[in-house]
Amino acid sequence: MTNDCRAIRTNLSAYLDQELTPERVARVEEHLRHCPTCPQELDDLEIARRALHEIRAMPEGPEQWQHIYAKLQTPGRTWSWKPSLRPRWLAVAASVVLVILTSIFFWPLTGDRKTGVEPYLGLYLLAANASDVLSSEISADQVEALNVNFPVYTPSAVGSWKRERIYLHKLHGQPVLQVFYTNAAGQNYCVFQQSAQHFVDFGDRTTKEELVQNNICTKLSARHFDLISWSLDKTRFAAVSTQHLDLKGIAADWMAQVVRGQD
Amino acid sequence: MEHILGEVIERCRRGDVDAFEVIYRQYRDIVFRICYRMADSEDEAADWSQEVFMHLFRKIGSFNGKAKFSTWLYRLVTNYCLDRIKTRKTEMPLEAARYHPAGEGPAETLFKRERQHIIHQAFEHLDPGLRSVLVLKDMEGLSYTEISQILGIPEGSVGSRLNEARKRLAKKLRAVSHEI
Repeated sequence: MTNDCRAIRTNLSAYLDQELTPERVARVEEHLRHCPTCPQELDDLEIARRALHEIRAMPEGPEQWQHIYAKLQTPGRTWSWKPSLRPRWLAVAASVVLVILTSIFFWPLTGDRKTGVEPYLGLYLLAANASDVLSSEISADQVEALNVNFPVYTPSAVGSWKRERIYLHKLHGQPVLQVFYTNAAGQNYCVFQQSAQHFVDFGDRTTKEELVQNNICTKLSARHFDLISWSLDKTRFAAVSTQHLDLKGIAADWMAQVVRGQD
Repeated sequence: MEHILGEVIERCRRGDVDAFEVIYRQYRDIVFRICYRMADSEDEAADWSQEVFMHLFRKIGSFNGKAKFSTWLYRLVTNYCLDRIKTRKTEMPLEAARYHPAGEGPAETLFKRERQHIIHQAFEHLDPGLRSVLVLKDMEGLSYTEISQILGIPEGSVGSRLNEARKRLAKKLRAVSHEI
């Protein structure tokens, strides 16, 4: 690649976007006529640009005015977002401290790392919901028979998600479904599902922020999952893992923890 | 519109929540679109867009009219999204749940759907800073001048960031298309 190529390539996106002056356009086109490699670079940029145009379609945005209005009318709400202006070194230092503390906290709970089995998944939730926890594996038919007032979560996404197993948990007297899925790519999905009126299952922790504050999210995401995602009404969250977890092992250990907890 | 908006903004400055509904109705789609493209899921985008409006109401007094209100708003939303992403670096995109085909009609082929899914995946794995410039240019259709004002960078840097973002996206698309 010549120096001329380098100079031209910095202008290729602007050329595609018709943001260059006529003189520069002429210079770019002259170069493209003779250069053996820059036209390929231009093709790549065009491929990316066209690809993005293909996915411009959007789901409709939710109507949120009533929520916003109510919150703005409520004095003393802590809804404001503050940009992170702290120095980077402070964030790094905080991360180091957090890693050390997390390591100490989780040390006794370490699972079988060779196989990637994380046996204490259940414990995190159990710790947060210290009493009144019962769990059992159930079939989809049983879910309907139980009349828990909400359908089993079915991902609307592409691909054939295979439902591995469903657990029914009773937390503070309310039912919560835990559904394990595996998608076509072998990624594991674990969905905890509950209806709006049963969100009290998590005690008073009714918002994502509060759940995070109580470390449920952190513990789950740090140990198993790359994402914890909440539904809009905050009544359901999905935990997603790109690791190949041993679901059977996790479930077995979950149950073992429950049994020990009951003892 | 700008004249009417000026009055509305003035009322909002004085804490008039009802007046703020005009802003919400006018810019709801823009805010959600940006959040949707930058967040990892539709649910997260909805959360963010709600918080953006809360933040906007609080900050609207600092709008000084030097730039267009929409440009100022784009900047506020983009910064908000980038900041939120920064605070949750360890999380990964929920690719599958983000998939929204452009249409569900019978004419749409499976190939097209699969292709769109691949593009979504490649796009969402880009660095957030690069993603934001692609959103503003290739999805919002803004000019380099507007993008430079929104991101606070020179116009020349807009072009070079777009270059980088598009090259990386093309590379990812090529890699994925070889896999399938």
